[in-house]
Amino acid sequence: MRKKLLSVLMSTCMAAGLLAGSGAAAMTAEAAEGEKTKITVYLGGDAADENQKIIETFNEQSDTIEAEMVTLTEGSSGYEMLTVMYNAGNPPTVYFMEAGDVLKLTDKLTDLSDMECLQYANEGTTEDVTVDGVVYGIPANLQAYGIMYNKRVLESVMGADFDPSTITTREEFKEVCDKVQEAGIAPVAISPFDWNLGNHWFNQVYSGQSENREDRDAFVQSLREGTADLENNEIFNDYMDTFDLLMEYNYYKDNPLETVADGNEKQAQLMALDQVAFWFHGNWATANLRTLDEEGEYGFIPVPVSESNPNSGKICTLVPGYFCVEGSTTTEEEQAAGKEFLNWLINSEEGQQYVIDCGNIPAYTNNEATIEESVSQSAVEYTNSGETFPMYVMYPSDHATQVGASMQKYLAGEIDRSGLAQEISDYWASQE
Amino acid sequence: MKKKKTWRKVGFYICFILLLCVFLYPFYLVVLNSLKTNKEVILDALALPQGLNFEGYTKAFERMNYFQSFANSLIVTVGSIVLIVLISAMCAHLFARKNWKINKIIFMIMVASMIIPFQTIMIPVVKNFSALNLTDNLFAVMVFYMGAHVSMAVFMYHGFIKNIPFELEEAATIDGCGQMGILFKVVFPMLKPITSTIVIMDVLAIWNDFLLPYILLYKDSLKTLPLMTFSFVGQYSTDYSLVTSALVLTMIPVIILYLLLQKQIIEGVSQGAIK
Amino acid sequence: MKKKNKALKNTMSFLVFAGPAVLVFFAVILVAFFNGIQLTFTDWNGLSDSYQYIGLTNYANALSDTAFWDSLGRTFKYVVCVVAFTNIIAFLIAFFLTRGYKGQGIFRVAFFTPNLIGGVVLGIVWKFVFSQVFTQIGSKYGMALFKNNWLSTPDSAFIALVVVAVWQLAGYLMLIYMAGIISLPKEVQEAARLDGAVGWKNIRHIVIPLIMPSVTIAVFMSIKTAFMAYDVNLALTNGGPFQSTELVAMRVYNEAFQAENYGVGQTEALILFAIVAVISIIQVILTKSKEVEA
Repeated sequence: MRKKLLSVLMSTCMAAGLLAGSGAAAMTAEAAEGEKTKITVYLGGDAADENQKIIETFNEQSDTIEAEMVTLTEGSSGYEMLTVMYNAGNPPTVYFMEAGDVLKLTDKLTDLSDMECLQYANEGTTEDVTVDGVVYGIPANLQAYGIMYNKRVLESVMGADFDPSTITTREEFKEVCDKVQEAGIAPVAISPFDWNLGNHWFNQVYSGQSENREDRDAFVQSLREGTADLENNEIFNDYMDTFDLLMEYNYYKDNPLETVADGNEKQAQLMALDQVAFWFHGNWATANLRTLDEEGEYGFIPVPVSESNPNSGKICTLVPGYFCVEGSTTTEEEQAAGKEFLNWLINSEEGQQYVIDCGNIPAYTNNEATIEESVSQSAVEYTNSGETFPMYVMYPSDHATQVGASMQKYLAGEIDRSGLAQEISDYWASQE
Repeated sequence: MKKKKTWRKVGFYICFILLLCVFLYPFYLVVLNSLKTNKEVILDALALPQGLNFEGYTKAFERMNYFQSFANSLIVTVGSIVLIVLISAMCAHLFARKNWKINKIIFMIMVASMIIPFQTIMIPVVKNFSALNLTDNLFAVMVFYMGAHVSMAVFMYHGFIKNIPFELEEAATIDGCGQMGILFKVVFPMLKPITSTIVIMDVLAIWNDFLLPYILLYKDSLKTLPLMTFSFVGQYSTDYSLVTSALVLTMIPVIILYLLLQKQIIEGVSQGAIK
Repeated sequence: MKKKNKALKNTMSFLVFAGPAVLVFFAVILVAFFNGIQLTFTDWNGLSDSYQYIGLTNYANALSDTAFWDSLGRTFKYVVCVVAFTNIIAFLIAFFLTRGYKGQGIFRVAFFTPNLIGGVVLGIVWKFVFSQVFTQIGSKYGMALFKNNWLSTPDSAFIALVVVAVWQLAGYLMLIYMAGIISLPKEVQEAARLDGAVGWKNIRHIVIPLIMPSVTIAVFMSIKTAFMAYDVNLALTNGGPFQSTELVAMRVYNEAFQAENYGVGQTEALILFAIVAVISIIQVILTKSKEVEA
């Protein structure tokens, strides 16, 4: 019986082998089919279901273009796989990239300055990807981060309505944390991932140097040149004082890296199940929260710092990525199709809803989809009142792993503050 | 004396059954949790499911493009192995029967090359395949596997053919068979045992390979099963019901094959390792 | 004339029979190997088509890359642990499964199962076990062993990597040892028993010396597998926390594809190759010298 099976198996193998040999050309997935212009699209982000759905919707609506989704999971930006694909002469037609990576590839990108949707883009969202007046990417959406709070926990602990504007300084924050702790609840959750600590937390040290863009760039430049004194930098110490406070009240104080190999779900779980009151994180975590708690109300408070800190009282916004249209290996027809896809994505009702469904905040003023999510609402309130500062994104692509690793060591107590300053200074100095 | 023997037997079974449980525990946990909802997993991963929930399976099946990635894996594995077997047997036969200098030299190079780890050639492979526009191409992946696995197959066939008496082939020559005829009519039928060893070893190696497809295949529609699983799990890492379902779906084809052909597989791997 | 004809015929039969295999082998493996050596002298950046020859700069950079040497040291530690534990466990299992107890076939089949499944999938399986299940066991039953997530500290994450490798590889080596033990002549075993060599003595003085060929193979395979470990490393810890479990294969990959230093990455890969080759040769010579004729 088994012998027979083996022989059947072997002969199937043979048959498939012959097919494989003759049909090699058909195997490159570019089988001719219809007259539609084919484009490949990498949308980025974590909302795989929504990504799939929006591509399907587009394909249903478009008579002239067919989009195929490409997924890249390596790294936080996908840039690494993009280089490999570029190197292969086979990049996606439309792809999502972080600002710093966009700048590295400008010679391979299509000029998007004439895109219709740009007139609606929120102020300041395209500066990072504009070189000599040419716009190379259009913002995908906005995200915001700060210290997220769980209203239910805070109100039950304090027995009164919680007003997020009452916490702006470390002292005020500490007071509330103490109350939470007295109630037997750990006040704070910290996500120990390198991208969170390295890019999101530490970026505040760069962006907090000045409200002025040139001055921030100059500070980072001095880090590269090795002339900055990070250890005695006022803003660095300001943020690390706050970080010490978070560490003090951390739910996983005994083993801060407990969940380092996981995703966000552990912290989201602590938050959703009322085991902590605060979490340094951003609106992208909403989906995780909602799988466990559909009703609860969450929102942001600014990271508490000294009043002299330019970032005081503000939350951080970022354009997590830009959509770019490939310009070096694609045909003009494909480039036009890519632009058309993007215009549709930004302007159509479905595309506008898609941004919201992904748990993001629209980066365009013409987006009319309604936001029901309390986390996003809170973020939009800060954006509307101008109490935001832009994330500093001009860092090298291994910034998250390297600076993140140093921050993890600090969090785990492996190095002290001056060791941290040293490691991060060394990292920057080693950049060309 | 007899009593001692019985005790020893009991001891053996207790130890080995315990060991077996430890060995298979991870698989049990994955299957168990694949039948729960995500919330159930997060709250208690050890508990039995409250009801059978196959939602994870249906969703993972659909989102992973399961049939597609399964077919990709199958095409690559089967295609490359058929070709490996064919060309290696031909090559090994020539090497074993003709004592030419060039044969000896190439054979030595092939044997020596088996020590080269994939990481050493990974970067140039990406570079060369890219330069030839051979990424996102299943046939190119097959070609790589052929190149990477022929030396082992030639080596094994060579050893085997050396042990087949030459007289058989001589007799066939007298009967008027050409070299090709000898190979296919006389030699191939005798190579069955070693062929099944080679096929089994290469199936395990190629079906499960990750790094090569990882650097050469990017489109979802071309990804092999392990690659798809990895990128799928990366995207849905927070939904444990989905993750565990995807893992089960990925493992099940191999496990079924194993249950059907366990004897041949064990035998093949043992032979392959010793040769 | 006749001679020339024969030469032509031989060339033809070489091309027909050995041609395809030799061609594909040369095109894929050898070209890449030598190309790889060539790349170590260039500043190729992974993107551009052109590159410059820069002499030994990549070698100098590789030599001064502490992250690489750290990961190499860590990999040595890993190889020693994995090779030792897998071989001991595999041998013991093989020894008891060749004693003639009923049902040993089932055990053999079951222990081999992890080898059927790729490292990435196994890594994801174990990640789930370590971070979801073990931590829950730890908090539910207050077990100190599982109090913290094993993947959260450098030492325990390293142990986790070793555990998974041993778990996977032991079943494979078991088959090698079983084949070795089964082929032992019955008379030798019998004679040993009469001489009073039973239990541990039997293993130590009779079985192990006689199966040295199997030991050579098993140790060789485990060294090579452990040195090149990437899949499980990627799926289980991805080098974390803070790159403390980054094994050398991953370091090479990251140096090339993540930090975009292709030249340095390739140089490190080549250094790794040299080290593995030397160690494998030394090991084979050492264990071969201990082999005795049965």
